[in-house]
Amino acid sequence: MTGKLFRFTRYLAFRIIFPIVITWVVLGLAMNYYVNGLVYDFISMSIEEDMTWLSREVQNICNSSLDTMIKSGKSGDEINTKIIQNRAMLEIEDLLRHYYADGMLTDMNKDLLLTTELPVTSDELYSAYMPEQLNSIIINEKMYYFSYVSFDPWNWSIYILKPAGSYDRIKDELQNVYLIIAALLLLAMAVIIYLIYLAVSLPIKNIIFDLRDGKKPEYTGAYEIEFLSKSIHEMMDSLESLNRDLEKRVEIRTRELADAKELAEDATKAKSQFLARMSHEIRTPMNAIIGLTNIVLKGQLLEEQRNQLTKVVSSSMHLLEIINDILDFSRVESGKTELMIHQFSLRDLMDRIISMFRLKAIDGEIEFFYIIDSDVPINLKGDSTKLGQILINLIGNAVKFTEQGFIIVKVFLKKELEQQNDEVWLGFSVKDSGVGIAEDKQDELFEPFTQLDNSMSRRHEGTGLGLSITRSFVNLMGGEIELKSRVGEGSEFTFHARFQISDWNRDYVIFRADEFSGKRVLVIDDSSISCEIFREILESMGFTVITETDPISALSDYATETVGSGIAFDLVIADWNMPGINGFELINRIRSEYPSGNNDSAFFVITTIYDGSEKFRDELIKDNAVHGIIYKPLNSFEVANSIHRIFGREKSKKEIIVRDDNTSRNKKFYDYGRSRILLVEDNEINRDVAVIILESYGFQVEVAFNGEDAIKKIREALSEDESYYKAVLMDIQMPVMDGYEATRIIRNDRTMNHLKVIAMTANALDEDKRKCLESGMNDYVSKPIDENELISKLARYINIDNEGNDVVAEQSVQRKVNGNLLLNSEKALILFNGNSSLYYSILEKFISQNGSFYENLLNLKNNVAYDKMALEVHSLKGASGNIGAEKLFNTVTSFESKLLNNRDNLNDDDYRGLGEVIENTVAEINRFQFSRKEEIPDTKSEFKELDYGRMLEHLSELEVYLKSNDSRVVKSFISFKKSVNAVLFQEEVEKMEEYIYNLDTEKALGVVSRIKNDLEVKRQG
Amino acid sequence: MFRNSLAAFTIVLFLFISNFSYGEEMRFGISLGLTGQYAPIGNMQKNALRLWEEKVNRTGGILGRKVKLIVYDDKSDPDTAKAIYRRMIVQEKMDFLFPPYSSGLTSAILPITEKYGYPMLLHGAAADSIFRKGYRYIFGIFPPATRYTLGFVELLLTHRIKRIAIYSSDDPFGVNIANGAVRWSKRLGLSIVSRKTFKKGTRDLTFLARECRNLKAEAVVMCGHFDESVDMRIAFKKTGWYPRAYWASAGPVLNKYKTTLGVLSENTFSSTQWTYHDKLPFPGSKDFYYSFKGKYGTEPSYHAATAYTAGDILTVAIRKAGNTNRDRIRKILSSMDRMTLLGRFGVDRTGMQIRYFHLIIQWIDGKKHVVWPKELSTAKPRLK
Repeated sequence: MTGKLFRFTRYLAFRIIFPIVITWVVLGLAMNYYVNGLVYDFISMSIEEDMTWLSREVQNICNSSLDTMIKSGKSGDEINTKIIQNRAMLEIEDLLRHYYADGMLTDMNKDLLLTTELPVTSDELYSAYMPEQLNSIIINEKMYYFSYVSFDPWNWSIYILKPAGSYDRIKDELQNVYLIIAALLLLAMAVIIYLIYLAVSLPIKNIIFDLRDGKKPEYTGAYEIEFLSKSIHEMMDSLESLNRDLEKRVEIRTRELADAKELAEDATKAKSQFLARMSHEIRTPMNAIIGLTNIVLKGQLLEEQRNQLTKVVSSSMHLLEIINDILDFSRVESGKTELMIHQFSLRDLMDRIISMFRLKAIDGEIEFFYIIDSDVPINLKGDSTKLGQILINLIGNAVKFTEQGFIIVKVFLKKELEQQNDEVWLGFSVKDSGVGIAEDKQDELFEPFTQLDNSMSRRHEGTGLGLSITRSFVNLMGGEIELKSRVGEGSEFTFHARFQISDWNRDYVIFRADEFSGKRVLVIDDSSISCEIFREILESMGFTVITETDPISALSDYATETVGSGIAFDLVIADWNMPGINGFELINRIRSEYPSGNNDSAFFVITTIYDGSEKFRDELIKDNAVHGIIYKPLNSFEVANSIHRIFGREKSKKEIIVRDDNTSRNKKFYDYGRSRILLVEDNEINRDVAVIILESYGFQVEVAFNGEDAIKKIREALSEDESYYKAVLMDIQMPVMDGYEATRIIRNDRTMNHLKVIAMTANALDEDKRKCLESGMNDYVSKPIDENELISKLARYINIDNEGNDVVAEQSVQRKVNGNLLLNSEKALILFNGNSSLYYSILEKFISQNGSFYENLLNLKNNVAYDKMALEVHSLKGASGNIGAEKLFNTVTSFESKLLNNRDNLNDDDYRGLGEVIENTVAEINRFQFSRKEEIPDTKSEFKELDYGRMLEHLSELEVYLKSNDSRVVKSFISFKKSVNAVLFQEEVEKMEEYIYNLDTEKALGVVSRIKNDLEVKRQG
Repeated sequence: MFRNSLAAFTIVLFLFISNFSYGEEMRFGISLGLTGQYAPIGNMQKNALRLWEEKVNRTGGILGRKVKLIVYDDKSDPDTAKAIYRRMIVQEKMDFLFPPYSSGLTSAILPITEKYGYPMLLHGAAADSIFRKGYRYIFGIFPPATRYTLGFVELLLTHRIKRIAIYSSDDPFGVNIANGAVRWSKRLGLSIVSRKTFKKGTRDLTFLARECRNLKAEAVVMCGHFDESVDMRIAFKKTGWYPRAYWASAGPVLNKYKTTLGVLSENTFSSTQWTYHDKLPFPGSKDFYYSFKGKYGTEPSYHAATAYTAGDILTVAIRKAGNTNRDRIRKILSSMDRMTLLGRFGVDRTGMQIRYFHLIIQWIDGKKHVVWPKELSTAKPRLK
């Protein structure tokens, strides 16, 4: 209102005053024009009248003079005539001067000036003269009006001239009048404007100022303005009334909205609580179902029972997946999904994910590949859990909808996006040759609860939420997901996401691009995709790659290359399963048909799909038929590692350490038997499941029923031994005191705050996990319990002291010589897949075999048996590398290099130096073994009673794993070893251990069979 | 109470009388060449104006106010005259002013008096050029200088004298008179044998006299002031030649001409604005002549008569205006038509006197005689 009035006021000045000014100016101009015309006419008439009158007067003077002369009777007297004429001229002069005029008189062709001097002749005036008109002439740039009088009696021609300037005075006076009038008009205009200001603008301004001040205008005066003021006054009253009504309404609505919001918040809260409760409530029995079923499955069952229970587990897992999907979707929908940033190894993640699908791929006729480009940084910071979920979902879909063909998973650097110093955009693609998706359906694919083909979805179970959740996660990571697909040709999902590069291992490299430069490789695989994958990987390592999909043509290639150029292949990779001829046969034919080539220096490798057994390896490698096996699905790491291994090239120390750091998190070996865990769990079933799992790994488990009970037990235990508990597994929702509160108390108590607390919760929401960490817990595992996850996390924490240093690393005597460790047991254990027993036995063997190496070396030197020396040295190099004797490894490598290149360079110091390092290393191993034995308590005393049933269960499990060459055989053996009375079966157990660690399955099975029979006898007896 | 009232009345009366006395005096200022080259004429005019002052005051003053004439000596110098008139206007705030003598000095002070709107009755200037400058507050007492010789040329014509030599000093007055002489000579058909201007102050004019003789001039016109008229006459004597008629301006009008030249003054013609004789028909002439002669013991010249007439005309104009408003008085003067001791007064729009005319006088037998116009003449002109 105020603004409008203000604008109106501004326009008022424009609309009233401006027109007045314009009118005034127009009137002034018109009047000026009119008056100028009048003045001109008036002056013209005046001049004309003046000139006419003067002419007449002059004529009269002449007539009068002549008359006087005639009357005097002297008209005939020449002198008298001249005198009379002169006096007449005098009179004319006076007349002209009086009227500001000039004159010229011509008498007998003689010009006589009547006034002042005139620079003009009578002839000029005569020429310019026009009868009956107002005559004018310019003399010396001045204009004169003139008239002509002829007085014939005296033959006089008289010209009367009047300067035009003599009329300027009239103009000046008129102009003055005009200016005065104009000034008066301006003054009048100013007065009018001021009056308008007083009458209109000022009252309106006052009204506006009142309005601005929030007052109601009270103007009285000019009727119109007063009317305006009253109207505004009334309008403001109405507005006030309306405003009051509106405020009331707003108040009511606000109250209603607040109520509604409260209700909505309550509903949201209730929904969240419901979800949390449901998650918890469902997971708790699921934990029991899956856990107990798995435990039952570990026992002896009829085949039918095993099948049925396996289906129970499978169905439960599926149900769990559905619950997880719904929970994820719910969190996405409510915007509560957040990234949990942490360091992770991309390679480990990919390995884990790919391994999940490896067997599934084998079931179908699918070739599985995965490639991580060499420029992709491996150690990242990001939410690996969600990245894993995305990849699992996409790969899972690919597996589901691809019955035959291939699946390629690729990780690459998204170079077109800006790569910051600490940030990297990575692209992921999952490509399959499956059924494909129609173009018009592709957009719907990412919508929740969308399944494209009901028949397909019935065949492949799912909630229809996976891709929707996937897209949300990708978006959360700052990326986008795309789909390219054609029906019948397959699909390719591509997404990119942003990660931070971890400082942990920024410069990790798998291999160098020029590492195998100049080496030639022939790849024979009936799968062209396999060939291309190999080409990509091997070329990036520096190989010159020739691929062949037809085995027979490959033979031809080999012949051509060998005979033609004389250049043999350094490496031949052949697929096992090819039509017509398998890889092994092909290699044999190459060897037999082209013995003249450099077959002796070439390496032959077989590729095959990994089916969970290693049936080929023993067979093939034992006979030196091939030098190595590369398992499919192909991935760049495995291929690179295999090639390195085959070519006998050790990676640089840095690479090894980096890689080991990566893998050690999950693969360290720990002596769980000496670790006591406090399990805090109120649910009896969950408690039982957890106890069984933990004990199966050798943990000593004590139980508390709630937080308060836990605190009490911890205080009691730690008062005597502060390292009594290695870790606390803490449930969250418990009566009396929940897990959060209990953890807070632990963290605030100096006697307890060193304890590692791992949440074990059925609350699977992100915020639950965050709450766990915020309350002071070190980590969390979700229910239903994933056995591997639980053990893995326990392994991580119970071996890390308060300062975060690795206990094993500390306990191991890590003596360094010249910067190299004499014995890097930690690294070696990783190479041994965490199998410490095997490692310890290998250490003993190393001592027994190499204790007198130096003496043998000197003998060989003395006998000039350098070839044998080279073999011995090479053997020592491999052995020292395997056990983590870094200093020895480096010394031997150097020694070998000198030996092979130019043995003359070897001097006594080299021999002596090697001998010293061997001696130190052996001493270090002895020290390590001694300290280990001291630390490990005698497990034999822990078993007070013989439980034959349990022993038999372990043996049965061990037997299964041995038969199926399952990698879990080591873990199973350790469990068995702990359960058996070693005194009774000490010899057999030691043998079994040796066989197992030497991968002698048959002999190990023989021992198992013998012990099993003995136990059956003893149990029955 | 009564005492206080009486005291107050006395004070008021005193103030009134003082004020009345001061207001009654009407001051008229003038600067004249009481010394220097114009001293004879200047003093003559001063005496005439004093006579006017006395006469006016004797008859009750003007508008009931006494007249006070304040006279300054400009030493016949134009710059001095200008300073005096500026002072009289700005500082002394004179009610009215009279102009100085000579066309030169008058031309010098007129811009000042015109600026302040003082009506000026020009009793000492006759140059035509003054009236062509557009002044609005000037009123000529003299007829135009160009007309000085008109009567003399007519006389020459009637006596059939044709060859005329015309000389002038290089001052405006002389030049204007000479131009007039040329004009009339041409109109009336005379032959001008020589027309020359010489530097004012040149005393030996025998070269002119010799030229006249050589050119066989019959009449000689010398346009200048007193000295030039005398010097030319002496030059004739020196050359031993005398024209049939010799006319000179200004000088021969004065008796001093006779006393200076003695017998050489005989036959010299001149023009005069006024010269007293018993037949002169203009009112006030006799009274003025005798009053002046009685008071100062000498005959008044026409310069005295013009000065006295100026005072007289201004008195009449003020009285007619009824106040001292100078603009109003200017208007009255512009349209005044009145008989004075000089004759009929009337000016045109330029302020030039168009009603007066000159008398031609000639020294005959030791006396000045009016010889033209015939109607006013006291003797017949004598020509060789």
